[in-house]
Amino acid sequence: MNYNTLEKNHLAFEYLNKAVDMFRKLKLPDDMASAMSNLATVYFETGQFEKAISLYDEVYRIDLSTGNTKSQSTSLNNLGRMYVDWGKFETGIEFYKRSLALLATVSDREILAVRYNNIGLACQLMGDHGEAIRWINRALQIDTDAYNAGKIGIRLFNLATSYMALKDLSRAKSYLEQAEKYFTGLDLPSRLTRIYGRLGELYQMQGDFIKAEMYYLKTEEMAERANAIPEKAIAGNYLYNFYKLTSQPEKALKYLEMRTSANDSLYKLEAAKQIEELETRYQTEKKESEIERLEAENELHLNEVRFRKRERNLALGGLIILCGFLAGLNYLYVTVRKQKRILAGKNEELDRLNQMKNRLFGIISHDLRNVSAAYQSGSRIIQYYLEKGQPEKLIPLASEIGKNARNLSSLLDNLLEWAVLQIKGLKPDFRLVPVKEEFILQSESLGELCTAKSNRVEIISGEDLVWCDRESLRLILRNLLFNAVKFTSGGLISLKSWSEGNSTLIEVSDTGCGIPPEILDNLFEFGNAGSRIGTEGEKGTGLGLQLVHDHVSKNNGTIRVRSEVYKGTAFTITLPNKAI
Amino acid sequence: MKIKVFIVEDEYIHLEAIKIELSEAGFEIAGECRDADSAFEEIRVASPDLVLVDIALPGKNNGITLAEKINRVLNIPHIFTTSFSEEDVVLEAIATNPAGYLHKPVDRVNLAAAIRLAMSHEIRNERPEEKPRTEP
Repeated sequence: MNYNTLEKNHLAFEYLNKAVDMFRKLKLPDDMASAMSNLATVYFETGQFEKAISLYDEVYRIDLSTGNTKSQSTSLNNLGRMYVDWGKFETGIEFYKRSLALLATVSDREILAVRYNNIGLACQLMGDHGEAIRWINRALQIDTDAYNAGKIGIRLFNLATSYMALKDLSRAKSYLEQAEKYFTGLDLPSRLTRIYGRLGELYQMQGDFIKAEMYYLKTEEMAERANAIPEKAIAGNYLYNFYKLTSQPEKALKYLEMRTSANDSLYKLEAAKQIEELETRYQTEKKESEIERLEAENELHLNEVRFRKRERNLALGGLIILCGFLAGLNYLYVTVRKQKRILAGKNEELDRLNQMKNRLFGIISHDLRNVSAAYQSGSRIIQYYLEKGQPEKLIPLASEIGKNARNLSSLLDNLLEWAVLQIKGLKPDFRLVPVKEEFILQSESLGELCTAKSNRVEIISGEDLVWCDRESLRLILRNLLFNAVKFTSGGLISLKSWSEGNSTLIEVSDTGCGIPPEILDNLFEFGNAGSRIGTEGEKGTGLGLQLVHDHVSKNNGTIRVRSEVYKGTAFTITLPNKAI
Repeated sequence: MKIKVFIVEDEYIHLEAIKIELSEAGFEIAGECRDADSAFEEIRVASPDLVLVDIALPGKNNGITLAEKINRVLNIPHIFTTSFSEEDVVLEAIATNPAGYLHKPVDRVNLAAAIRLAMSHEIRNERPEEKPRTEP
């Protein structure tokens, strides 16, 4: 603020702006309001009322937010001063009064006096001298109570001015003389310059030119003492006008020169001040344009930040979508690969089954063709020996034809069973089946063959039951018994059953030629074991054991085999003995 | 001189029928065997001009493995007599370099033609005897 008093307004402006920014950043509202208030004063002194008012208004709002009543009053008073100096007296008075209302709560009488005086001066400027006198008197009263001599002098001078305007010269004179005493006592020549000038005017108005001249000359004396250019200008003006009026051209000329000289100096001062003001304005505008530029830059920067943020969000969104897409692709890839693996596995299984079926059909077609060929050959042999007249040679043939017929029958039975199983699948008709009955039935059906091969059949079975499909059990027993007979000559074939917990075990064993270990391992897998020739050349497809295995599985059972070459073979089947 | 034929056949009916057809066609039966495992030794001993071999035979060997050994070791021509007509079996059989492949039941005309044809090829393929070297 010192720069302001030194009339270095542009510097004051610069530093105050910095101070405002600093306090704003530091969040010190009171200090910021003070700096802003000082800044407003700089604007005011450079005639930039609107900016000054705007700043004071802002200061007032800060004061409101901080709740400082005294500061609020000061801000309103300052606003009043701005409007009055701007020529908007009524608005100014309005603010003064609002300031006054707030101050009523404050016990600072000196400030109250200043407010009253301000209102009085505003009324004076409006030409309402009666109102002016009323307000100034209130100020005078306070200052008198406080015995503030300087202030009393000023109030008296102000009152005198209004009374003079109202042509109440005696009162005006009285006040001026009282004021003279105060200023004389305080030795304030500059103030006395104005008092004497006003007294000269008063006496001049009364027609007392001698006294008028005396007081006018005192103004010159005081101005010299004050050594102040404005006072010299005032004194020169009074004396020039007086001597001009009283037709004393020589003196008038002298004081005209004095006035002109002082005014020139004032003008120079004014010019310097105006240059200062212009410079301040330039700085202000520069500052404002700088602010505008910074604001624009800031806006640009904000836009850029927004754009980058949007860009980043878009990129992030894109990344998320890409990740999702890749995850989806990966999922698809994994799924497809899994499906491919499953399909490849199924294809392998299908290939294996296909190969198995091809082998099966190959063997079946061979066996069927072979049987058919055997009948054709048999027919040729019969014809040959009959033509030769040697029918006795046909005896072994008859036996061979019978064996061939049994082989064919067994083959066709199994083939049909297998075909049904393949086409319809097996849907077992579960029921409890007495095992012994089935043993007897099957042993009887193969009884002739057993006898032919000198095999003995024994049945060791109690009241055992199995929970299965009766036809399945018959197929299983028929095949196992047929195999036992096929590979046994002059031996024993046993059919046994017994219960273990929830299961019934069925065993078909023989004392035949046994199964070599290399065949035993894959016995139930068709095509691996193949068919073996029986002890008397009985043929087979290998289909029988495959069927046995499938039917046991479908009936919730298991099958195992143990065998020793030249000692015999035993098949053991485990089936449930009650409903599951 | 009659052509001597050895028969490897496990089924009585086919064996008897083949023997009848061979006799009627004027061939000599050098021997017979009903399983693949013992057949080779019997053929080696009998030393026939030609062997008729069934493919589906009992034993660790079958007609094809037997024929391969006859061809490789004994260099005696062989003809398959079988009920197999599946391509893979036929291809496996051909690999043993047979003189013929006949489906059962074999009839006399075809059997005789196959044997004679095989023997005529065998004669043509016979190597001339090496001449003795003259002393210098």
